[in-house]
Amino acid sequence: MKKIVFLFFLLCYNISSFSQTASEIITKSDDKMRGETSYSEIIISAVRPKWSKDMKLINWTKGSDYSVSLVKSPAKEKGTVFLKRKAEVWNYIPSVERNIKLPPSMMMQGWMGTDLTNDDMVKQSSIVVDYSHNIIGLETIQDLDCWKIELIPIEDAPVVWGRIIMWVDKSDYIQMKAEFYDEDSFLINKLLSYNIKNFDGKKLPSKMEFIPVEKKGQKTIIEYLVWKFGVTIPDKYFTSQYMKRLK
Amino acid sequence: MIIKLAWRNIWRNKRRSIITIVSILIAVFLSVSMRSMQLGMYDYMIKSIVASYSGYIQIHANGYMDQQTIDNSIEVNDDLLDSIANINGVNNIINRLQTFSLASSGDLTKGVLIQGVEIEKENLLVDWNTRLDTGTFFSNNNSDVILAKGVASYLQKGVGDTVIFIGMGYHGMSAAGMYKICGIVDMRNPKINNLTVFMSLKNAQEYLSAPNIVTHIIIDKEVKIDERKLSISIKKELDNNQYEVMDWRELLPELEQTIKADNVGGLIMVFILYMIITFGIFGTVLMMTQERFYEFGVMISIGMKKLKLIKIVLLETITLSLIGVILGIFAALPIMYYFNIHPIKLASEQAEAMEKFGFEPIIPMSTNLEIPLTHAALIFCISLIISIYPVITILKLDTIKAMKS
Repeated sequence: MKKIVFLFFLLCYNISSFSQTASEIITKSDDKMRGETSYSEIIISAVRPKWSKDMKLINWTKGSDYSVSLVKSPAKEKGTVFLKRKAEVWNYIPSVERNIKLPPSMMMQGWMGTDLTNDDMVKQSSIVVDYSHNIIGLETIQDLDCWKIELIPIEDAPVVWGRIIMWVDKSDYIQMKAEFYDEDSFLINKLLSYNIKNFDGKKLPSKMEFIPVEKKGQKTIIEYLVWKFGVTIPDKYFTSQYMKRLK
Repeated sequence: MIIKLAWRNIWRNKRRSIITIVSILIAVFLSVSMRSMQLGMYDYMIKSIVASYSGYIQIHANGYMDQQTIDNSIEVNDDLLDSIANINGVNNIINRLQTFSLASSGDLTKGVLIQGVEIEKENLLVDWNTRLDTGTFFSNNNSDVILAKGVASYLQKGVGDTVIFIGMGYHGMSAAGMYKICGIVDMRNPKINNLTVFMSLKNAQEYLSAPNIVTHIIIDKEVKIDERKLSISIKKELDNNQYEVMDWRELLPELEQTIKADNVGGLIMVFILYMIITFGIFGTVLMMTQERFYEFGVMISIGMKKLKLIKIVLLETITLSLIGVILGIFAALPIMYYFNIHPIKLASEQAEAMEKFGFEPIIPMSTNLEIPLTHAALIFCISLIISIYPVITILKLDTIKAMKS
């Protein structure tokens, strides 16, 4: 009898020491996408019922606080630069040689005509810090076993979502799917990842679709062409003064 | 003979006749002046916005009125423009491309409405030379811009300075451009003055990456045509899934309702004035009839036919009212013409209220001759109706009873 009870407790203890907390999973997943520094070339497409627009961008990131993006095409927008420094967003427009710091009132507007808002671009890593995490199930997405994790905002966190559900792949910690709900629990946005590839030693999705659920026929597609990690990036790349010289 | 008698009867009792004439005169003068002011005001409001700015009829892409974004726009081609031009009653077609953008100069920024216009066509609606304060106009091919004076003074810029516009273009393209200011205009309407900038249509299409795109097709109608009928003809001609056709009442419903509401108020005032006139005339006629009871009795008993007497009495009343009405109109006409040419300027608080609605705070009076003629006719009819009383009295007259009174 005593043996059985002892074995039972041992089993429970073992199980809990092997499982990870939801927060650890989210942190690992987020770190993987960002790394210390990264360099990427992407094509971001805004798809609408009657038209679509493709943009080619080069991005440099340092941790989760600094990132700068340079638009390479279309020709009319070439040379436009977006800089994120902590909570500030700057925009350089070459045709008028103007550097603008985006006011908070513009943060909820679409970024360059896509379905991602300026706020989405800035708040990518807040899922780690601003939310509490809970594993609520296990599901299979695109033949990969995933944890289904619920994210609830911490009290007073400066976030726009009431609830996020994220499916994170068990073997490679990839965010396969995410659903964003507002405070009234209406599903507003969906994020789906496809085409897992090997980028510089890491397994990451090469195509992500961002779908605003309530707008028919609309979505934004991000395709990663090049993704490198641990690259050396001069600090000056992340200053507002350097924006007009970024190439 | 009847005329001579009637005329003598009127002036037999000078005081009563003059009082009657004066009361009719004042009533006519007041109602004509008041309606002239009101109707002049409405004409001015309509002209100031509709004829010179919004146009009597506008064609947009279907859904533009509800969601005024650049993607809800019309791609123009010659076939479309020809098919509209061929409709009976269409005088001119004027294209505009309109969008909201941020204007910036130095550290100052302001949201502005950019109007891409074809300046020669716009001159058909109103002479822009009267609007130009300083500088010159842009031509269709150059990229200079004109600011309305409110925008220019906010940004502290003048002719020759540079201004930047940043906004969202067509199909997701960013719109950004740096332009030289070639002129400043005064649109007379304070709201428009504080919000609008103008550039050539081609330039706006280039700024927004929107080739051959317009947001508004403005129809300048021939003068005598009713815009409601014309709007229906245009709707028949165009595909209603692609385009929406609206006349100014649908475009500016607040304007139409303001006018309607105010008009009703005015009509009530006029109705009250008419009540006063009616009782004034009736009072006089009543008194006169009663006073002359004895006289009527004598006339009839010595042989005057009742019908003749009735004719005389009727003529007296008609003459009195006619004199009053004509004098009233002649008193009102010079006032109407004077304030038509030099409109009444409103004092400070009322001026602010009007400027909030976007109108220059003036009241021009209408010189439409229909106004005095309508009122004259109405008052004339009232006098005729009132004359029924003495007529009936005479008809029922019992000579013996009359002479005993």
